[in-house]
Amino acid sequence: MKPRTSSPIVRELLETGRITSFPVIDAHGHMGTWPAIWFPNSDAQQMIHTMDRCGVSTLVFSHHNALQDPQTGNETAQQEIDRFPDRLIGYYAVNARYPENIREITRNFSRLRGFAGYKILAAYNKTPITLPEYAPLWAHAHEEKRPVLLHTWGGDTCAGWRQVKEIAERYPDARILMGHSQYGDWDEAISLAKEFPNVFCELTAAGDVNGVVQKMVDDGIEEKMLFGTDLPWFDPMHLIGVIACSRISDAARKRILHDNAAELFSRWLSC
Amino acid sequence: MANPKTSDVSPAAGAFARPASDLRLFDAWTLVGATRQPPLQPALTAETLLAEMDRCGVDEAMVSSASVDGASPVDTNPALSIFRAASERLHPIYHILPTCTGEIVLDTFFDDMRTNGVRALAADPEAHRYLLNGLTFGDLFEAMIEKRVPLYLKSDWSVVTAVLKEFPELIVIVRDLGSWGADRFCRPILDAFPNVHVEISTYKLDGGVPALLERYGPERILYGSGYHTCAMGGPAMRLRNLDIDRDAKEQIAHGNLERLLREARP
Ligand SMILES: [Zn+2]
Repeated sequence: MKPRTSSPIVRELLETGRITSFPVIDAHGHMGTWPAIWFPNSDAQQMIHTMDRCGVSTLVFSHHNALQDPQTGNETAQQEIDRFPDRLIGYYAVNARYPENIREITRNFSRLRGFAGYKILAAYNKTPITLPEYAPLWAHAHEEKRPVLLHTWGGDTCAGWRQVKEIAERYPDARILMGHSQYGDWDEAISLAKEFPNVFCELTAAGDVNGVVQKMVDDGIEEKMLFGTDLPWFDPMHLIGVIACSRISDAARKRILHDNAAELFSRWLSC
Repeated sequence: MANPKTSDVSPAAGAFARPASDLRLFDAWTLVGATRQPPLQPALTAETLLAEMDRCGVDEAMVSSASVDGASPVDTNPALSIFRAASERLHPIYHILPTCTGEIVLDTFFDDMRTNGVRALAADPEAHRYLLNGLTFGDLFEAMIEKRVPLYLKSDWSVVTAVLKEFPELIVIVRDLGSWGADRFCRPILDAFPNVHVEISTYKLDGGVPALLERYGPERILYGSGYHTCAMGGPAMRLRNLDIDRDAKEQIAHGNLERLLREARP
């Protein structure tokens, strides 16, 4: 049966198979293979096909290879951004265990094309985001108001809410995107997003948990929530469906699926 | 607010399969009831579950007790009768226990299932501390094979494999495949055991279902949501908008589960 809804957004989604009144922006993606999983659609062309199917105009991503090997992996990301400059925006992936790479890229970020900011997979690298090795990155993101996407998870001591709080206080102009919204530590994530204008909750995986989207909106952070999929991991239509069927307003749906990211990435979307 | 440079998405929606907005959905896996660590919005009553189904456009649902983490199936199985009584749209799943302790007596167990409209069973060997093997469950599993009653198993792949090696004719529904993709685990099992089905609530892998479909056909893929732990709206919208043909979508959405329940004769 059809969902019981009065939402024009949900109705157009049901009738056309995607939201047609505005493009969805995906603030958290990757690309390429990953050791622990088989992906049917992991190259740029396949991912863009998925984005087309789901009404996603733009994906902000870090290449999986760059999370392992920043030097060559980010170069691969650059090649794909150059191939699809109107669909892909990059996060330059860094790891404190390659400090020279961080020093070099923060000095020469302008040589990159289509990269908005950085990505840190701190828990996997076992490198807290507060390490001095990351300081040039935070200073650069702060100076140029750039986004930094973090992999954040409840209980994590590398990019948990305590570390994010410390960084948010120290670098108030760096845009800190809590990937997965401190999964499980929902109250702490919401508090940070409320307290700090520069902290955002990104919903990959987190949004799939029953009630999380509604709780965040009810708690007043709809302007700080971002749609994300980890593509090529998750079919974007899954989280779009969660947001469509959550007990929130259409205005909130549009904020999460488009407006917040459009504001955050406006410099890269319009250049 | 800046305008995104890509204000339109190409190619046109017509390049993909039509969305199935009126798809009949029969959810193969929902959870209800109190637990030690409740989710943000637990479904404690049939009314809560039914309201969520209406909002997400889900017609019917299999209902399993979430309370089995801290309560015995001796108590949680009968407690599900409230849900069945509340609506014909809800279909209870009982949890099994070994017969050796007398907590389950085979004849009365199947009588009870018939009386209460139960056509599928689930096992939770971790919570209920038993070995899921022929030594413990031979009598029950032989009866389930004869009666074609399906058994839900969590995607603990070594347990699933061991059970199927001993009871290849058992009808198994592997639930909660997980968001890390499951193909390297589930494909050899699907290849070897034709009675195995997969419930895809947490199998969100982009392109995953179309790939399974291509290899195995739609008959062994079951739509499920994992509600009340997981949001119900996600899997439903994902399936409605998959780029696959309508017949396959119908089978995954409700046809396969309806066939399994029809064939079960507890
Ligand atoms: Zn990620």
